[in-house]
Amino acid sequence: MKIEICHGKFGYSNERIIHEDISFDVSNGQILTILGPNGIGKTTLLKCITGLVPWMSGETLVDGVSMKKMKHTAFWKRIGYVPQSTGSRFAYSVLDMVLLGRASHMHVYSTPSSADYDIAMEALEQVGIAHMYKKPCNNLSGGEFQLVMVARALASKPEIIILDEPESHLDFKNQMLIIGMLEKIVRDQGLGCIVNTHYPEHALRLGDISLMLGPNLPYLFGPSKDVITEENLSKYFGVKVKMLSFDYKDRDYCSIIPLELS
Amino acid sequence: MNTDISVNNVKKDFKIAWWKKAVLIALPLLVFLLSFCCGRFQVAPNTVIEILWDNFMGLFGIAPTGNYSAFQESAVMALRFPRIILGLLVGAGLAISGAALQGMFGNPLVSPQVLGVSSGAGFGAALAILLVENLFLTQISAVIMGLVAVAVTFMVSKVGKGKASIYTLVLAGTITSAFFEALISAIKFTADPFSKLPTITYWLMGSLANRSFADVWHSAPLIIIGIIVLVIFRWRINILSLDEDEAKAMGVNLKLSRFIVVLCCSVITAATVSVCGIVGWIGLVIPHICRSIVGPNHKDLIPACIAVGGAYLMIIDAIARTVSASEIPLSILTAIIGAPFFAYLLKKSGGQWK
Amino acid sequence: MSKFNKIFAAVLSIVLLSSMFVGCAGGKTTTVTKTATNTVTNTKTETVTVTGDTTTSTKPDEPEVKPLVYPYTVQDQAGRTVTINKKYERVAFSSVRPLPATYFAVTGNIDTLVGMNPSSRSAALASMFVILCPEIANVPTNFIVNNDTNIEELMKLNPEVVFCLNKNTDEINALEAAGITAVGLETNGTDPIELFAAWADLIGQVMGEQNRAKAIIEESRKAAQEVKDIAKTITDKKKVMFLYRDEGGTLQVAGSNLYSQYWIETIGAENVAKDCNNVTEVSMEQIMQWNPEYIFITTFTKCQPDDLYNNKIEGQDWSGIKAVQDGHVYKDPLGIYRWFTPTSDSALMLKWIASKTYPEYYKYDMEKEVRDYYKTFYGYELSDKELNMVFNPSSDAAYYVK
Repeated sequence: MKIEICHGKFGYSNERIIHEDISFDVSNGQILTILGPNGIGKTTLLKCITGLVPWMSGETLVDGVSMKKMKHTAFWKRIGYVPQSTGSRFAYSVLDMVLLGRASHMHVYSTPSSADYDIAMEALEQVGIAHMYKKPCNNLSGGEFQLVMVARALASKPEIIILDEPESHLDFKNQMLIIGMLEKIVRDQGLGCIVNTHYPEHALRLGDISLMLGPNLPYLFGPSKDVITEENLSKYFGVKVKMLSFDYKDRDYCSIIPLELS
Repeated sequence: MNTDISVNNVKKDFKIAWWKKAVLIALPLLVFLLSFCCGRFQVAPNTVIEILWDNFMGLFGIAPTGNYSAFQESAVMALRFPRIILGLLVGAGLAISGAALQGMFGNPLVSPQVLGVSSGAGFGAALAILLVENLFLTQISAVIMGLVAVAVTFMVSKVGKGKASIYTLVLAGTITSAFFEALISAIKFTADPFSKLPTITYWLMGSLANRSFADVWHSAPLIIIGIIVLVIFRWRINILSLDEDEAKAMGVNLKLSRFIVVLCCSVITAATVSVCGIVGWIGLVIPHICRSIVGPNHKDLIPACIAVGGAYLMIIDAIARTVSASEIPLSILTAIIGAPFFAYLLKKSGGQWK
Repeated sequence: MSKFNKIFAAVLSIVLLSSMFVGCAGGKTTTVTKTATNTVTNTKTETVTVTGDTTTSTKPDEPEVKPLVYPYTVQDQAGRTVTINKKYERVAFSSVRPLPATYFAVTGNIDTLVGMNPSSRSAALASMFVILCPEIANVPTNFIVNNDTNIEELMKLNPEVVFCLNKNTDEINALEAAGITAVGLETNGTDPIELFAAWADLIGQVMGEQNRAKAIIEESRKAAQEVKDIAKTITDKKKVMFLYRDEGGTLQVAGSNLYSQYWIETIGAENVAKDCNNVTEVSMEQIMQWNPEYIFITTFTKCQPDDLYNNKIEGQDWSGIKAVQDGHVYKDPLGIYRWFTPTSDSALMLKWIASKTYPEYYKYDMEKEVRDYYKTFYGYELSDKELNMVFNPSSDAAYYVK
């Protein structure tokens, strides 16, 4: 499956254009990380990609077909969306919350079947919180609930999963968990991934391809290694950094250390 | 992390305890039968059973065998039976509407009155009482004006590019309610203070007094259809309670779903107002009671509300018609019982609602 | 002082100053300690002291012997002392619906009536009142809106004295401030004969015409005494019920603390609804439990005896009620006003309800009674058709014709 953005343009009004003529694509098996400073419009971009907010001009193509021409349910069967989480005010149990993700596969008049329960528990296991399945959502921490939302998106068995800053609110360990989980599902299940992230290190680690946005600057799209450089980080984030690479267990890792404001 | 949790066990974990299910099914049935024994006219319980049995057998053409007067049979079958059925339907309908709307708005303080249906229906009824004094026309007027009020709410709530968000919907509902309440006051102002005004006032307070089977045929179809649709739809209401983007991301047609839920709740509420006036505190309190029994998942909550709401109003009506020679308006009883109970729930739950 | 305080002090001073002027506006009264002698025997004398001569004649058509000496005072039913300055020629009634009819009975005409409550007007148009006085249809009513008196509209009619409900203190104060004599009347009471007597007496005092009032009061009390004497001999208390309203899903009966209690108990019967207070909504079941033997339907409702006999009303089953089975369901007659309330026809109401409930004890020929009464006290000879209208009022009488 391939999602393609063609000349997308979006703004809240003609004076406030946020994205001007942006084009990129991602297929399953790939992870696209999106980076940019606060307020640049990363969340808005995700909403435009998924059609939650309409493009002013340009379009989203799914396997060459314009998203506007697709049926609502057909689209969401293949795409999973995990918005930013601030915790839940509902007392639904974790499992009930994850089961909601099965909606696109169910009839309007149905209630979840045993098969649906299976898939939901599987998703919880993938995210590592299967033991919490009975807990009410409003008793969870922000980070735990973020994991629930990821599980919910996974429960719909999407081909591409879109996440908005999933590592926020997560502790060190859970951040590793999420990153590892994303790597695993892409590698093992061939899912595609679009991730907004504040952490260029994560982007490099995950990264096949990256999109970098900056204020009054042209967007950068390409292989992560080419996009995420000291020069680009300085220009797009206003922070001078030092990037240090090293090997660990036959794998390249890169550490990015902020030095000073540039 | 333990990944050995058997899925079969999981599903069982989420089933409502068998004894709870038994109580929820038995409660309305029990109240239904016991209600037949309540009323100012003395009919002994075994006589009641004889009357019910004979009428039931009469459906199969079997001749009556009991020993009772036509008067007693009339009291049980013609006077109490319609009230009991209406109590069941109105209680269940209002409770289920309250639950669905609380789910949809994600707000535990919402009641069926939130979208202005009750005020609109009350206005329709008051207008009809003022102009013509015909019960059937009053009922039709109530249903029509109730639905008009909801339509007005929808129109008022469309801000910006035709998007009606949850917040604007609640605000628009408040505006519509206030508007129709003002119209009701205007009607009370112009109504003749010696005959029409007391009738309108009494009617608005809610009563099932002097209801007949004709009233049941008028309102039951609307209420039952509304309940059936909401029951079919019940699991999806969980999704409607989420944020807009989240809900859409689950492949739900948000606009259509909300419309269906609101339409069902409005039809049910307008039909209840048409047949028994405005009865508050059911749509608000019963869902909370049921949540503490079966949890917030609407898959279980909606059916529980039918059982508890129906039983509740049947009990209230039994009190209203038995405790004193004068009929007590229903909303007075539901408020006197409902408000303190709500306060108790608040203290017990520590403010944690959903 | 702050600006607000200054304004407040100024307003307060103005209010205090003006109230001083109002207080001084009352006229002086000379109190002469002459009490009117009531030549009617066996009566409860009202605590009305009239300082001035009044005639002692009891015949309604004899002219007064001496002219009244103005001003004199009367005690109204709002606990006020009202000063009567002249023979009033412009009179209005703002509340208490049966009053205009009472006024007519006391004064013999409605020439001086310049305004009344619209409910009184519609009642008049549906009753004998309009037949006795066709001009009643022209009496203005627009100064009353939703049972509230609009003082300025009322002043346009230029009344000299206004009769109103004693509880409407705001209205009374406003009338006094406008320089109009206000007289407050009571409606609370369970004895319609005495309540009517009080009204008639007070109106008579105020208008300086007590002959007719005395005559009707005497007749009413005579009827009441007659009935009470016979009632003492009655041992079986029949179960009677007043059906106040039955239409449009409303079912109301008249309980105690209301005129119904008097009508029923005075004739020696029992009010099945005595546990209900005033007018209350009841269920059909309750009526079945009471099972009244006699039902009287008021003229406040469209409901007619046939509706009960033929069991036409949805949601109600009257077939098992004893009154229906025995054919003892009656519609209250409609004379000069609704007979349920205190009226100048109250003597007739008592006799009528007595003769319907206990025909073996009270042997009144009601047709003759009504004819004679109307001839004597209203100076009108009822035709057969009109007599029939009195005893068989149409359902329209319940409606308030605008």
